[in-house]
Amino acid sequence: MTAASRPTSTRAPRWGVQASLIQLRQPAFWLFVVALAIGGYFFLDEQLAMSTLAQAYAVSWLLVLAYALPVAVLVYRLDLFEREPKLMLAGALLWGGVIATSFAGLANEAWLSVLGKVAPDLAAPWGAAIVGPGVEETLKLMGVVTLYLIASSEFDGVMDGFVYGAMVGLGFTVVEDVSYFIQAAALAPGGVSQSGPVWETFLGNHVVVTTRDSAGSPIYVGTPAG
Amino acid sequence: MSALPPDGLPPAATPWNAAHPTPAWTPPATRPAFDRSRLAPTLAVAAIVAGVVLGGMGLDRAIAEPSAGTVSLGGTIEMDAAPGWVLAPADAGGSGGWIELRKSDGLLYATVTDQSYRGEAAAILAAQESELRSETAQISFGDEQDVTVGANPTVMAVFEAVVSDSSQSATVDGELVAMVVDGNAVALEVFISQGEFGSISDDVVAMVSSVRTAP
Repeated sequence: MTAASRPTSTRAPRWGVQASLIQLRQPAFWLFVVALAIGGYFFLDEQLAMSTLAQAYAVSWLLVLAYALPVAVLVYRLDLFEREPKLMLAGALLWGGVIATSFAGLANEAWLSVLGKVAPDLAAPWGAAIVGPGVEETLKLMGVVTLYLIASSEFDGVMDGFVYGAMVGLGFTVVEDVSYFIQAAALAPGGVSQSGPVWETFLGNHVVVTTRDSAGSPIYVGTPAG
Repeated sequence: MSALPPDGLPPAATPWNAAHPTPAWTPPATRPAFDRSRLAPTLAVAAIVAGVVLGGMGLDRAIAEPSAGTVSLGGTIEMDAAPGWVLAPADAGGSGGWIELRKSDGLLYATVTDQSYRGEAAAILAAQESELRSETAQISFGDEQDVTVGANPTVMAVFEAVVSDSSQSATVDGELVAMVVDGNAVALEVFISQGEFGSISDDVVAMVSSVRTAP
């Protein structure tokens, strides 16, 4: 086909076209940017504090990456017919690992304090179980909704919600697990094995939970307008 | 007979768009407009996130911390609990012996061990240290500090201990305080998760300073 015979239609076929995370005309993109700036500040602050335990910090990241990278590849390859854009997947990881964890840290502390004031007897034994799931699952799910609002054309089936939800959850569990490992390292009495709790945390549950919650999201939000 | 051309190849395929002539006019390139149709759902997401984070922080500030107020340590000795410190349920009825105050992970036990005490505060502290040694798997004490709080001779020592039961163990930080208040031997013990003592140290100072004889 020569250049002269090439059609000049402004509407190219969408086959094979992948949406980008960076969509300046989408309000949700700017919400993502603002949330990332705020969350990134708190994220870096916490990482710097944890890195003072240098050896535990390095080992923790190696452990979680050894787990997270194969999971990320597996989730990416799950959708056989339509691979999701890598930038969108990176956005999902950033929402889970930087934005949701940072916001959850602030929110969990505040709601636990509220619970401690309202029902102190309940707060000590059950506070984390009551506050954590509501705060963390809400924040992670809002990440998937934000990604949908940025690029709804990438959400056209249950598998898409599954993949993005898994990536948000994966980002969250990686960063949260590192903080748990560091906490365990800081609290571990000398000579007492902490391998049991570390491995229990290492397996984590956030990937599973957010994947389950998000898999159905396209059913509720409908098919994309484009 | 064959319809194939002499070279045996089929005729060249017709371009798929051959029937569509190039339009003489194409719209000018414009910058895509801000997608206002997504503004409302985006604001809803922002509101939910803000509600979870800022809502919790605002509510936390709005609700005043509960406090046990003035508590009796035994005899005529009383102490003002700092904001956020509440009596453990078992002590809410004012039972005798040690009282237990809690705030988050922090625990403060206090009692009057002798209402006609003639000895020194250091002896009270030594008895406390001995008792703790027998109750913990491992413990190390910091240097004793002799001070006067109000007009009351006081001795304090920080400690780090490993407490354990059959299934788990944990390291805690704490402080022992021994006071002689108008002939009463007063003992206080503070416990909190390792590394967290700084979060309650001001409260402990305030409560120790408030120990007094009831008017």
